[in-house]
Amino acid sequence: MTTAVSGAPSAGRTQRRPRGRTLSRRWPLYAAIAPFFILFSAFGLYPTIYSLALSFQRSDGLTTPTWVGLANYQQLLGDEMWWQAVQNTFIIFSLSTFPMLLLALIIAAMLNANVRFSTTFRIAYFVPNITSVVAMAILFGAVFGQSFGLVNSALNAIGLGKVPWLNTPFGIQLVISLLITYQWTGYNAIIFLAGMQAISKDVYEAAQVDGAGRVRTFLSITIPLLRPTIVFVMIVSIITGLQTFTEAQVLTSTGATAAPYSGGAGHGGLTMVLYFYQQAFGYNKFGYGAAIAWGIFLIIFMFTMLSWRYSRRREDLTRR
Amino acid sequence: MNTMGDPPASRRRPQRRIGLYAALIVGAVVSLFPLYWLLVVASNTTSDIYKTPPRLLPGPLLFENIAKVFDKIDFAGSLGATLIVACSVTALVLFFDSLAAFAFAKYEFPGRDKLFGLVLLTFMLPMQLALIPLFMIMTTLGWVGQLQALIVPAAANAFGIFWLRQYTIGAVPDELMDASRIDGAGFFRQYRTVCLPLIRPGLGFLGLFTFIGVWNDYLWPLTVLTNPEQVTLQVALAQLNSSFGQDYGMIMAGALLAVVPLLLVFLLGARQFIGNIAEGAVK
Amino acid sequence: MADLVTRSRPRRLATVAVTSVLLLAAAAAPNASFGAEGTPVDLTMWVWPGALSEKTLEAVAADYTDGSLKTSVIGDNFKTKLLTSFTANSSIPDITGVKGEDMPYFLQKPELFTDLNTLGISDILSEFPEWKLKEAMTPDGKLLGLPIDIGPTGLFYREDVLAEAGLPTDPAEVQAATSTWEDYFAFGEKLKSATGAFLQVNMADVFSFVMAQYPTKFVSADGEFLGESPEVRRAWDLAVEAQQRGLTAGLQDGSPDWASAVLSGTLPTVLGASWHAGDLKSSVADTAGKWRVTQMPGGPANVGGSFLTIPAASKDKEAAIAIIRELLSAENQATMFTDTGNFPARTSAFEEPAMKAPDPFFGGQDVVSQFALASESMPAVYNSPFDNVVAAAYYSELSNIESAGKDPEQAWRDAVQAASEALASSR
Repeated sequence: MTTAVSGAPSAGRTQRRPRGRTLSRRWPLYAAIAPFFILFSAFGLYPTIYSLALSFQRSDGLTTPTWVGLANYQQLLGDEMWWQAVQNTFIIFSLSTFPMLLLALIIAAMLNANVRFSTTFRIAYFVPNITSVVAMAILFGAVFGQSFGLVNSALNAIGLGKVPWLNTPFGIQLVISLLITYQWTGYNAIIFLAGMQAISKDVYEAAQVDGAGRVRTFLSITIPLLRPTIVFVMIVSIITGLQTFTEAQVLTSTGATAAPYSGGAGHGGLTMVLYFYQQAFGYNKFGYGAAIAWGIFLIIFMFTMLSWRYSRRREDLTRR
Repeated sequence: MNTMGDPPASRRRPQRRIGLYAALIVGAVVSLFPLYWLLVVASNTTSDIYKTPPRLLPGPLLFENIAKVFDKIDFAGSLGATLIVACSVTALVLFFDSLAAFAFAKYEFPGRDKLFGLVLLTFMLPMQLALIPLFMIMTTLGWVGQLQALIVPAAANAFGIFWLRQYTIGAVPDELMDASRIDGAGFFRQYRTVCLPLIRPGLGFLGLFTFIGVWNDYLWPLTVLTNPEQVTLQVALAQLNSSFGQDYGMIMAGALLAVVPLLLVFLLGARQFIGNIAEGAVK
Repeated sequence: MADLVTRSRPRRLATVAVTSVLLLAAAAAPNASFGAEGTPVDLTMWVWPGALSEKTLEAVAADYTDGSLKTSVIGDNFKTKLLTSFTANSSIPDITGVKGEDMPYFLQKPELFTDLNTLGISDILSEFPEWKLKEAMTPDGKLLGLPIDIGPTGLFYREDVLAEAGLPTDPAEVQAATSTWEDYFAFGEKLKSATGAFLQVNMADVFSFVMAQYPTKFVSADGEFLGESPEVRRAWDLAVEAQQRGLTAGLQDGSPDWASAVLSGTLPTVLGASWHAGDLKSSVADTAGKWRVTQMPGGPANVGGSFLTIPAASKDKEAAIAIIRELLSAENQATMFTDTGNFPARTSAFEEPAMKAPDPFFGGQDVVSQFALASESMPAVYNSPFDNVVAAAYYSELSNIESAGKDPEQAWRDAVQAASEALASSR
């Protein structure tokens, strides 16, 4: 963290000389941070608490809700479709996150290597992130069509057979992962790039003097120094990746009343959040939906904590 | 500045540079290809797409398909709605977040660190937890199907405060703070005269980032905008995509129309945006 | 200096407050206008794609001069959108279509709708089939909707592909060759070996059409679970058999892959109700003229068929019922048939000339008589409001067999268990 030019001993923070310790002097500060807390309390905290209460009820939104205690959670634990949704989500997550981070690192490294037109390149790589996910999901649905899609035509042309992309569960998961990777690689590459550019030149010069080759420098210097950024990106990717909804819903949408939001063939595209939406708004089971939402939160929280601990431990190990 | 530890220019091997450029160009093409493909599909008929192999070049029907989109959905209306929501949220977020970030960054007050920790905590809560109750709250307020339901809950967000705080700490020097205080400026005066001018690039970044996020938001608008006459672009687009008789030419024309305004906004602010992230906005 | 500070601060806050309020007010501008005496009453109507003829919708909207009639065609999940509206008590349309399969659910909540009997429709009631009217009637006799169409089923087939396979192409001959499911499968094997084409789009299709031929589905009128009955088991076994004999294509119905297969002739036979013709016409218009219709294997059934209803929250019920009357006039019902393939519920529509005109999509065949024939022998079916929730388990497991290679016996056991649990937790 760089500090601005400062004569004060403390790092970038100013000491306000108290002209009086009464709150009335400080009120602008509290007023400044109040809007966030007010909005959050009304639209974040209160609904979250309400949702906890809701998860102990059975409610369809139209009739008066009934209290059922832990029944929703018991049902959730035994709900096969839920566990499949969890599995699907983690499969999609693994398929998309690790390749994406690797690609992003490589692209960032390339962009960092003093190329011309670097801004143009950066813009080109960032464009996928700003295109509408809905539009891209529809497009990918067409591109990966079994008998007529662009991808299968290409595969056919070079002699490999047609792949039933969206008609098998794994195919659906693969396409969703590709979509996620497509959207976020450029974005994360730019973030890594920013981190890389914050590394001071002295370190590289020292490495050069020591005779380190390009790859060695990258692995032993760049990546370790980039660790905070990598961890940050990973945590954010975990939190957002496990909440995949739009890609799954749009790619597997049909108008069928019998099984709304069911995640396509073999329920391959049924992610945790899609299952939540299915139960809450497809079948109008608001109480059960709330329980599912809490299940999702717990899983994300546990996984994030595990990853955080793991990365911490790795960090300690690399320190000599 | 480069990470590869390249030898100085005079001794740089040309092949390596060519390899580098080639890889970068391939990556850029892959990134941009779906947009091109979008254009191709949007300017042909659906049967052209079903043929094997499908047409690879843009066709003549772009405007015809666009006309069909305008026929099927109120595109102008949903564009307007999306613009209102995106601009409102961005303006409110920039205002509230910069205010709070300034307070957290440059001032000391009782409970400051705990309160900031609380802000960080809120960042971790996924939005699905609040979705159903939020919907019920909107029902009580009578805001279901209205744009306020999208604007008000999003008006201040933790990420913005977190990020702007980092930025403000770096961008606003203490001397200016001291100087303005000696001049007798209070909090809001300092905010207006000292802070805002200095964090403008950071505001630009956060503003663009927020705008894009709101523009592309799907789950909440899908849930709460029950009036089919007043939906945002993403929801309108999804409405086009029903099964049986999918007119892909029309649907992709719609998708293209949904992407273009954002692309324009982005390209206009791109240099600043990309430049900003790369200029060590992540401090 | 302190004065400057104190003076500008309130002004800032005021500007911010005013701007925020203005922004919010702009966004909150209401859409609908509520009419007092003489002022225009704008009505909204919700339908799904293909529910009614577009020409009719435009004409009726033009005829309504007391305001504007805005029709929203809602793709995606119609029932979800409607239910969400009811739940939020917001944006409820003044007139709405209700799909036949959703009506049992809504019958449990009659307070959401207007009893049409109170709007003076006794004069036209006799023109609608009694059994169809019953589907929208609560136990205490409230009529929640007027039928738009009914769904007599048939077998749509491509006569050019059948000819190529050396199979009969005349409707009567095809019917004779496929009168039972067993015959139909044998027919399909010949088709496959000659042209490589599939008989059925997927297993769920077989399952649902066999189920449609029974008088009961998954839950009896007393709320009993019928998921393990011999009828359900037979439907299941037939679906599994079709798949094991290689007769199913494993595609998602209505998807672009489906359209592509139908276009290319890989799926030359399609089971469907009369309204399915509309789907065919909009998805694979290029194959017009090559289709014919005959009776479904195993006997006809009723699939689908929807209603027009007036929600209780409707702004102007008198105007709404007038609009519905016009939409369901004999003439408009006939137009609906030619435009969308929906088979009219109103019996007087059959006198209309439009109903007697040959359909070029079917090579000039008189398909009306095919569907009329089917409608005469369709079984009367009891639809439970829990059918959808219970059926979901079976479709889920069929999907697992088809795309994940699950063992059919295990899938059956899982389906039955999940289905009975679903029923238990829905009550």
